[in-house]
Amino acid sequence: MNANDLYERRAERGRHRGAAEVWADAHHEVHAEQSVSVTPGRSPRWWSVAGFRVAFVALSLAALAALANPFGVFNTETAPIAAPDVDRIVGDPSGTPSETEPDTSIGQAVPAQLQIAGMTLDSIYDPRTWDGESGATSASLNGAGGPATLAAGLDSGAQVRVFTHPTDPYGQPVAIASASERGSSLVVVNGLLSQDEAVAEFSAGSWTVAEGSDYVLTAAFEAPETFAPEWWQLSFSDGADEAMWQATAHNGADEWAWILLVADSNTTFQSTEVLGQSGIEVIDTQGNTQVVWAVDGQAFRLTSSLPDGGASVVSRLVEAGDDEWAAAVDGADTDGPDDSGVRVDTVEIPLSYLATGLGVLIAGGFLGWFVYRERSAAKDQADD
Amino acid sequence: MSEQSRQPEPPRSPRSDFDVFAELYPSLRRFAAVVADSDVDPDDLVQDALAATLRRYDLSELHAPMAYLRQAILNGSSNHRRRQSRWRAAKAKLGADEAQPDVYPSDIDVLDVLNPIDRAVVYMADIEGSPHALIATELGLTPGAVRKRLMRSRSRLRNILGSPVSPITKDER
Repeated sequence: MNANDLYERRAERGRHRGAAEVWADAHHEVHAEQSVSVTPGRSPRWWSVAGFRVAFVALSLAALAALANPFGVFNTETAPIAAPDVDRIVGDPSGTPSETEPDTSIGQAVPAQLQIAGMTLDSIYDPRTWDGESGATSASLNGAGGPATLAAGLDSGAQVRVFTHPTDPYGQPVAIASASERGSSLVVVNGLLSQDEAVAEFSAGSWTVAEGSDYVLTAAFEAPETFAPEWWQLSFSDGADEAMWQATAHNGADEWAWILLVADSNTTFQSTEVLGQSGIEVIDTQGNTQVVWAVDGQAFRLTSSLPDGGASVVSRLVEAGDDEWAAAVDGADTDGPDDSGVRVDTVEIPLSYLATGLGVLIAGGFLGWFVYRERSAAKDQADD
Repeated sequence: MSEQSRQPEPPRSPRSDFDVFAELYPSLRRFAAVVADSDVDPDDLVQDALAATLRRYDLSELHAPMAYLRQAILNGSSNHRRRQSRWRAAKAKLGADEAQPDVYPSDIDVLDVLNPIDRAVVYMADIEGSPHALIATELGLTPGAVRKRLMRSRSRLRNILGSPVSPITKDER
């Protein structure tokens, strides 16, 4: 087979229509496209398109109206915020409450001493009296809003105070203030709070609550019960790590919670997450709450008053095995309220809205067809 | 389309678009017959290319109407080939039984092993005897690409046909 011959034969294949016919067909094709009438109302297609556009706009407006939520068509669920409660933790690994103060040194993390449900002041021996000379170099709050560090590197002689709302000390924002010769600083956890509202002045070595402020110096945190988890010495030393623990109640109640702890090498927990729970009432804002919390290498459930008047405190945490972890993760309660206090919005467009939109769509198309038919009939009549 | 082929032509003696087309038609038709796959009618391809051109320009406006129309033909052929390929792939995915059309094999279908651009390059180089630079201009390729395509296509045809395409001599043109 010769390629040149193939090419020559291929070049001559097919029926030859001739230049004139090809030109005429192409010209007709172009001319037909350019002469298509787009005069409004001249074709059923125009009316159909117009009708559907009107319907689409109406549907869009209905959707926008729904999004604007004027009729409350969306359900908004706001999970309650971790309930307030206080444990004063002064303990030892045995779980026996103790008033012994831990030894501290410069640069060494100091065990948590005061806990507020949802927020914990750590690295400070006693917020009421600590003056910076115990060796801690910083103070921080770990709360619902995440850890906030106060005055990175506190001066020697600095004074730290905690201010809360007198009637709702834990439901309202909590402020920690420090003052030293270098000045003062303020950290607010769990909400917005202006400095004027929170604290007052530090002068001549004493604190004065701002005039008209709703806040008071918290001088009497009292813990109804205390505990010290068995894993007091828990630390994560090899960089970021995570572990899961099972918290159980010390009173023998069949209550537990899985807690996922993520910590860095400084044993500062970066996050905690309750993976699953059973027998634990979560949560209301009146203190009838049990909250699993973890701070500074410790995880425990805070004291709370149960709805039935009882009380329980988690006294120990048991490290969970891999199987238990997997089971807990698989069975994590994701249907219950979000105890992180995160606002959860769910969008539900009622069926009636969809039906209305569909009805408008159909009505628009029908209207377009009807108007076209009437116009055509009138035109035919006029022509006759 | 190359910029050169699209440049409006400077004013000159009036000549109708049909006159221009009629002069180019025989060559365009042969070109279309070569580059189009066997299932495409060459005149249909020329018509589509002409219509696409007339939607934008008058032929008399074009600086190089032959090059422009050839590129339009080539694009049309390539598009058809892509559409066919996608359609076959879609049918294969759907598991549809591909209805076998009546096929009357022809030896000229052997050239379908080359894609439209390669067929055009070989045709222009070996049948029309056009220089590489002109082929590159008319097909919107670089001269290097023309050389590579030509070499590759000749080799492929040689393997299939057992004989090379013989470049046309000057006397034969």
